[in-house]
Amino acid sequence: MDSQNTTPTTFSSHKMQDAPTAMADSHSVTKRLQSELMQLMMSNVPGISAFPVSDSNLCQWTGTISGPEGTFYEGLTYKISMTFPPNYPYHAPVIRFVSPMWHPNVDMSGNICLDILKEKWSAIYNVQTILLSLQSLLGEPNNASPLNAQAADLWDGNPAEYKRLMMTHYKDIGEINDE
Amino acid sequence: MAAAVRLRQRNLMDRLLNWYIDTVRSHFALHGLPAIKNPNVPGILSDLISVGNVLKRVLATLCDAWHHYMFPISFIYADNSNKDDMLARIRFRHSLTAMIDIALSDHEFQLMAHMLVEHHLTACGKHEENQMVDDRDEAQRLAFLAEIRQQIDVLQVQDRMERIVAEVYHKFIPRYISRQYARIWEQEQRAEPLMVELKNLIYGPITRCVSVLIRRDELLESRLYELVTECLVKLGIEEMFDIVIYFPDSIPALGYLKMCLKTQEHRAQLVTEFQNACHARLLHCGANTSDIISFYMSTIRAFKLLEPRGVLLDKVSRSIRRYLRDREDTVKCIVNGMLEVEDANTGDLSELGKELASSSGTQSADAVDDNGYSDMNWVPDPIDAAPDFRNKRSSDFIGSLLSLYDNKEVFVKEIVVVLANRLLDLKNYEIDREMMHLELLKLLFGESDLHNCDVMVKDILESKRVDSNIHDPTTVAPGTYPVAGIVHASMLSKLFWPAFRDEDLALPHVIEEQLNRYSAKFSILKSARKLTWLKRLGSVDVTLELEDRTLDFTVSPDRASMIYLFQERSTYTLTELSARLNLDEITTRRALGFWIKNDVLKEDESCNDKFILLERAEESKKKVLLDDAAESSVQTTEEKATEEMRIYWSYVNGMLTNIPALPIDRIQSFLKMLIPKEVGYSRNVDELRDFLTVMVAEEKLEYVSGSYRLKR
Repeated sequence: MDSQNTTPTTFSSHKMQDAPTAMADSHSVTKRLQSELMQLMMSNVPGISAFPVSDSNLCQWTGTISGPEGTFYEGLTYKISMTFPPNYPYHAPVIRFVSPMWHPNVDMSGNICLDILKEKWSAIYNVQTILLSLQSLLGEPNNASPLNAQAADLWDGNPAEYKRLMMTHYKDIGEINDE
Repeated sequence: MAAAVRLRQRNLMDRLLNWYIDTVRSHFALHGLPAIKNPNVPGILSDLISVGNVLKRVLATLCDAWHHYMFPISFIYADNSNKDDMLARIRFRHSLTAMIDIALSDHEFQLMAHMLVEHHLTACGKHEENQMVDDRDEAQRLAFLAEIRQQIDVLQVQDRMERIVAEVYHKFIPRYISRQYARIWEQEQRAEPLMVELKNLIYGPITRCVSVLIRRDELLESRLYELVTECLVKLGIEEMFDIVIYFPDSIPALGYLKMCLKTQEHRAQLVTEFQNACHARLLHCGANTSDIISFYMSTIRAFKLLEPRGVLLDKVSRSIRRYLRDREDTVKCIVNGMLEVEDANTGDLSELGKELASSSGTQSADAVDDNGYSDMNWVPDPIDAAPDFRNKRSSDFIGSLLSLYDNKEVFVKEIVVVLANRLLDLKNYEIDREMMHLELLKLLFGESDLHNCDVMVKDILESKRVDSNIHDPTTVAPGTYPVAGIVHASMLSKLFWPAFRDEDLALPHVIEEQLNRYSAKFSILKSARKLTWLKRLGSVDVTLELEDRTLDFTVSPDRASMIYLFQERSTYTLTELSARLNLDEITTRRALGFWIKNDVLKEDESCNDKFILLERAEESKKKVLLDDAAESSVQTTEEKATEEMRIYWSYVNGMLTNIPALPIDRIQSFLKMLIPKEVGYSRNVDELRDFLTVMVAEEKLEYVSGSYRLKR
């Protein structure tokens, strides 16, 4: 797993120093993102979706996640932003909730605490798996390491209050788009 | 005093003249006019000779009157040295001429004169046709006309006669030309000899005839000649469409048209007429695409002959090209033509294939010098060239056809499909023809685009080798059975072939058995590789031995499997068949249709969807209705286009899920940028707009203030 996580400098270190190959690398990122997009578009999994923000920069995406059925978040949709580093997929993309999100593992500015986006990132993950992980995170938070302690407490303690507080924070995706 | 007398006398003379003029007028009105009126005119008009005689009599009467009226004047005012006398004579003559002129302006006279002149001109034309009609006849006619001319001269109404003659020959010559030469293109007489013939006619009998009647002038001949040229151009312009249809038999006609087509006006007229004819007769949904294409090819050749610069061609071909671009099967027809595929639906365009073979190699050489910088014979484009006119390579219609579309990709895709079908239909791995075609196509499209085809051809070559290896009796491993000699397979590199219809088919057990042996042998030869059979592809030679007849067919596997089932028992229902064959009902029905058409099966009359084997041939009453057009085994381009559109839709959907609203050009640039090259996005904005409009109509999208958004 570790070897997948690091840039394979051992056998391509000489490449990394040349300027032209940097370009080739950015090209390969583009290509990878293109094929991930293709895969995502073709598989058409309900409830998750993502797309580049502009046609000039493939490294900035915006995504949409619907809350899974049978959770507090059922029927709600959230907007996220995804920023891919130039050495993707060797480094994890940076993902934030753009919609206000009241959730044990998400802080008030939308940052997410999810292991696969941090230390457990692997190059075998892709946009689709990330989105699916985020979607399941909504239903199964990791209350052991909360960013939002109040939410973590209420999750098990007082579901009704959880739902009420969560809804006070919720903003419809249409409103966010209008801003 | 003497002056006063003279003055008085002169006054008297004037009054006398005025009186005389008045008297003559009333006399003429009372006696002259009724005399020349012919009560029998309607009756005699049917008889040309009597028309001549009546005309002559009328003129003679008028001449008599002329002499009678003139007589007193000529001795009263006889003094030639007296200026007053001269003036009086002139005045009287004017008055007389005016009177006669008015008399001649009568409708009947005009009609008769017309008929007479026309009759004589027609006689000239006949004379030219038939040299046997002797010259005495012409001499007689000329003598007759000369008499008329004399009378005309006496009456001094040459102007009127000239007008009549001019009117007649302006009518006569066009009619003569269109009668003699219309719809004759093949014969040489349309070119040089035609002109000679016409010149002979003009300078010979017609000029003789006309110049007897009217004052001869130098311009007459050239004017007549111009008229003839003009008529010929008009005829050619009207007939251009047919000339193109009958090309190349009509080359002589083009030759003369080229000779006569000089003015801008005529060129413009030719273009308009031709385009109108195209729209009326060709560019409508009743015409086959292949016919339009072959007409286009003829157009290119014909107009290139007519005008090597290609300006006219450029203009007339625009509407044809625009129309062809809208046709769905244009690409298919062109590609089939180039590959010399004979297909009932697309018609025969094998000419394209021949052209391809003969033009090979010239393509790349010409492409270098596009601007003509090194062309020492360069001249500016003609004045009527369209602003975006570009001189295209001479009569290279393959190039013209390929330039119908902005990119050659559409052709490449179709070529791959057609070639795949061709290769799959092969039975003996004989691919010489395909290889030759492929090489020729490479010259046109370049190596890289046809890379897939290379692989496909190579697959077949490799298959031939592997197949012969498998059938080699010396390589039979102990304990296994040899593969029956009837089974041959082509091993395809899936990635490089067009998508196959991956439909299953239940083959007869014996065949499955053979295929398994084949696979086993293959796995031995190529270790670690396994064959995946595409059971629907390929062909089977079938011999049916029925009670009273033996029939041979070469059919697709599904048809063969179906008829194999009838070996067990002689009736099946549709559902049974489709279950046994593992086919959907439509395909089953189509296969049934084939056998019914060939009188091997019949549908039970009492029970629908039940089919009986005809052991004995019987008179079939009704033939089946299902078209059994040979099914293409690979996805056709249209299917591919639908498939592509499905991909594009998921992109648009994903795009608009995350970005609320987008104008069309953003969507276009997204699609261009994001869809991987392997899939390819080659639509232009207009095509995208069409697609999005369909989506709006299907209520999947909505169009609000210039942007598209998802309909919620």
